[in-house]
Amino acid sequence: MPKRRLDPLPSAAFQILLSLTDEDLHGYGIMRQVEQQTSGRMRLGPGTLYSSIQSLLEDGLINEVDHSGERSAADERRRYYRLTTAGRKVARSEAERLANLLRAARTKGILRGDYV
Amino acid sequence: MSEKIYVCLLRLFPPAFRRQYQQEALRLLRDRLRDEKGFFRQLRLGFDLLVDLIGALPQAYRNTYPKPAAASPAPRFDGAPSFQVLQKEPMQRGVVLIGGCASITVLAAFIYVMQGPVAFHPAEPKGHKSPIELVMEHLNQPLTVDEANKAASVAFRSDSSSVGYQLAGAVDQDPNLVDSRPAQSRAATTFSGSASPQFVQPAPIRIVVRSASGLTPQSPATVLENVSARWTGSWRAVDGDPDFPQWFSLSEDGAKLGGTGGPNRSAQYPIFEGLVAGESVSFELQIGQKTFLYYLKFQDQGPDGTVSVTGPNGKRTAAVRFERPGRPSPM
Repeated sequence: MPKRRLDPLPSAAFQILLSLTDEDLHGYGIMRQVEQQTSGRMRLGPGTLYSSIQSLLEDGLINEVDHSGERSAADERRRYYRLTTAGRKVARSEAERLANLLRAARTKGILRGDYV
Repeated sequence: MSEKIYVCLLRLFPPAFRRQYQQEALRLLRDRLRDEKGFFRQLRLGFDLLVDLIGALPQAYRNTYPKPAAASPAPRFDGAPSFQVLQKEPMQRGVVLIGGCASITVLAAFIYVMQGPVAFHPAEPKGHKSPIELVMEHLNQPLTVDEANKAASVAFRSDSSSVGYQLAGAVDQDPNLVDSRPAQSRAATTFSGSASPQFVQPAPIRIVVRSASGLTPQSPATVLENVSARWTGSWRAVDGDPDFPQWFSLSEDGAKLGGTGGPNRSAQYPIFEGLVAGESVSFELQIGQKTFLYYLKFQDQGPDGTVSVTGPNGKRTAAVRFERPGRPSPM
């Protein structure tokens, strides 16, 4: 079985998957959502955003959806993306991996403050 | 960063990426330009785009993109073949530049390789020579006296009354003008075209054939018996350069001389054009871009003589002396 391109999952790809968990978003919406969920620490540029989206599309973790019926005039040519079941599974496993890391870090006592 | 500059920067991405996402990327840029007002925000946007460009390029080139749907050829019902252009974009300047640089690099490497000396691979005694090598070896073989007399016993005369050539009488050939090809082929070449050659009664002639080195090949019975041996020695240039060591392993085969030579026992090169004539031998040695031409005369202590070194820096002559290995050099 060929090795997946997104294994390990890059940070940008993980953030994109997280941003799509609640709703379908277009590119700029994904960028804003990522910026919000990272408290402004990550602002995806067009190159990183669409390269990551292309990788996620290739691996079937997201897919492009048709929102033509709901689009306004400004959104006429925007592409919307939706998280697939496989993408949700990958995002969950990545979150668990990070949680394990966090647990290990807490055990070692290197975390201070209000970390979850 | 203006949209025009970003469009230029987007050209660094693969064409498939631009075909798929250029409009989306420009839309995202316009959205950010609209939302992020103010000097510092614009500055941060420009910095973000540059960092994004550097970080995203490798992944953009690693990705695979769906191929654009090929236009279906127009159906032809008259049986004539139809063609369509699949690649509508003109050849990019970068492609031309890379191709040109690659071509120049390959050409430079080829010229560099061709300038080097060609490795000498002596053929084995029983063959493994190409037909061209065999013919060239035969043509370059020096004529013996018997062969020369036999070949020159045929004379040609032109039918032309105004211009007549006759080869008869005693002939001494200049060593510089000696044509090493068989006499028949020389004659055919020389006199062809003037008239139909006519054979005449051969006259007694005497041809003295000298080799290119000025030595006269002798019959195998008269050559030295101690040439085939290992010799060590040194040569010193006339202008006073320090001694250069020499180590040779010579082997004679009749009037021919073979073997190897070089500065020491481990660095040996094949000798060629080797001739044995009486007590004298001559041969050449090619080391790198230098050619060493040896003229040696065998004495009681060993051979001595001169060596002419021809190389990129010119030509110079040195005295050379050899002796059996294990004995101190007299020079």
